[in-house]
Amino acid sequence: MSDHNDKDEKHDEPETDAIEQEETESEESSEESEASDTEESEDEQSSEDAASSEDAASSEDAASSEDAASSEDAAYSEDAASSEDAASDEELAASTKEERAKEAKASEPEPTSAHNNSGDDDHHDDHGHGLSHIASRKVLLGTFGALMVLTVLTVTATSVDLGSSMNLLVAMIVATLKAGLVCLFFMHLRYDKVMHTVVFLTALLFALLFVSFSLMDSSGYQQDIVWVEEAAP
Amino acid sequence: MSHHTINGHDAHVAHHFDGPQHQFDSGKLGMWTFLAQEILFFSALFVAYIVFRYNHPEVFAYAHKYLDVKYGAINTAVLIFSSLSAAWAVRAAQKNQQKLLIACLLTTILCAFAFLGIKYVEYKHKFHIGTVYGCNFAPSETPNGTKIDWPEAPKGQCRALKASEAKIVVEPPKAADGTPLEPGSPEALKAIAEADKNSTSRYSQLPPPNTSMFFSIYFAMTGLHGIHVLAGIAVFIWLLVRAIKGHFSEAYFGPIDFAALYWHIVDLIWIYLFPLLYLIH
Repeated sequence: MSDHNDKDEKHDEPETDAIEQEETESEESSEESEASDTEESEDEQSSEDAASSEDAASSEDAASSEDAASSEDAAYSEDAASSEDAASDEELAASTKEERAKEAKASEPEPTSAHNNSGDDDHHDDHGHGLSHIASRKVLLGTFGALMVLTVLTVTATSVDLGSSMNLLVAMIVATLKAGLVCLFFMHLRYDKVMHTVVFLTALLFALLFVSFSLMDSSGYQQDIVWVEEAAP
Repeated sequence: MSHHTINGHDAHVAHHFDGPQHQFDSGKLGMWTFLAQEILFFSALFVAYIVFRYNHPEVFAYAHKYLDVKYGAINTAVLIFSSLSAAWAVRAAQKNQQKLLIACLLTTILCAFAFLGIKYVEYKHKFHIGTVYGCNFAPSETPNGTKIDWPEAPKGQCRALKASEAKIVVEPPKAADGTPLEPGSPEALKAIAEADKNSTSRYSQLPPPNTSMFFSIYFAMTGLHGIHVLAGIAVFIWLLVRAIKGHFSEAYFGPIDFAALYWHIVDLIWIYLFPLLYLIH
């Protein structure tokens, strides 16, 4: 929670005091950001699209601007929360575009006046929840879609002859992209404490050491491997 | 930092924690440490795979044809979908959407059963045709369906595969519509010649030496993964019962979050197993 806030605070936007628990509203408020007519927010929104697509794992800048986008969204939903309904209710509470555009406009001046970055922690205490980041519907569905596309891609790539080592390389790259998507978005590492990523990467590092040391001398024992019979005639 | 308001009326915080945030963060770090251990746990089998494939690429090029990519791909899709529903269960709990939470947990459990069901079909077929681990390996057919006859194993001993004693049984040739052709007829001879065209000798169709190792690795890796799926089912059923009792809310969803993390690691390992075992070119 606090980690995510820190990230938000790094953006010099007035709206950055995010209630993380309500960042979830980001998907439906993507339209709000457009409605509020800021060039910036549209850019950020489109880069959020990028973040949920296949390239996401590699695009760091798209990732950081997503933070900005979601914090803006949070500003909207925070306003909605104060009107009792929308935060606890289903996302579809504000049903029409016009309504939501109005709400978005109404919310715009509020964050700058009522909140600032330094008041972030107090603000969270007021609400008392938001133990961790909530993945938006857009991110979840985008990750799922990308994983399915990559699965089809890797199955298709196998039928194309690129030479056996090249085929293996392509399969492993695609698998690693998929694993990255799962880690970053399904497992929340993108929004989570850095410590969890460190723990995860440490395990991978030691697995890599394990493999490397095992491969060092593995061909040295080949003559000792005895099969029940010599190779077939 | 948020415990000032919650701690007073949250029964879920254990006494040794400062508050819900402390409890949640500790649980999550603990879960990640466990997942790190899981990666190292599986890495032993990945090392076995890598070392063996590095030394015997021909075994993998041959043996993977026994596996059906269709089943593997369906299972990949099933697991990815179950990961989505697990991630959504976390979201539903965080947003206090009780019915959606129950639906997501149920979907994850059903997907896990579907995965194991498909795995059962695959395992059953492998035991049926004899492509199993260790010295029980004695396939009754080649990957392209030609029957193989192996000599009887001496009683009480491992069956020794002597390629020179193996008989390849060519099925009676059939016409395109499936009706058997008259043995010795020109059509039948032509069909046999067509079937033999791709092989230089009849032994080239037999498994290369040490092929049983592929299946030892296959059963060890998919078996250990399957045990993890079983454990996941147990955990998610426990969560489902608690969710039905209304234990989870935006103030307390740690168990859902941690179980989902575990489930994603199970998915992640399958993401590597699928291309390594099924998609060998």
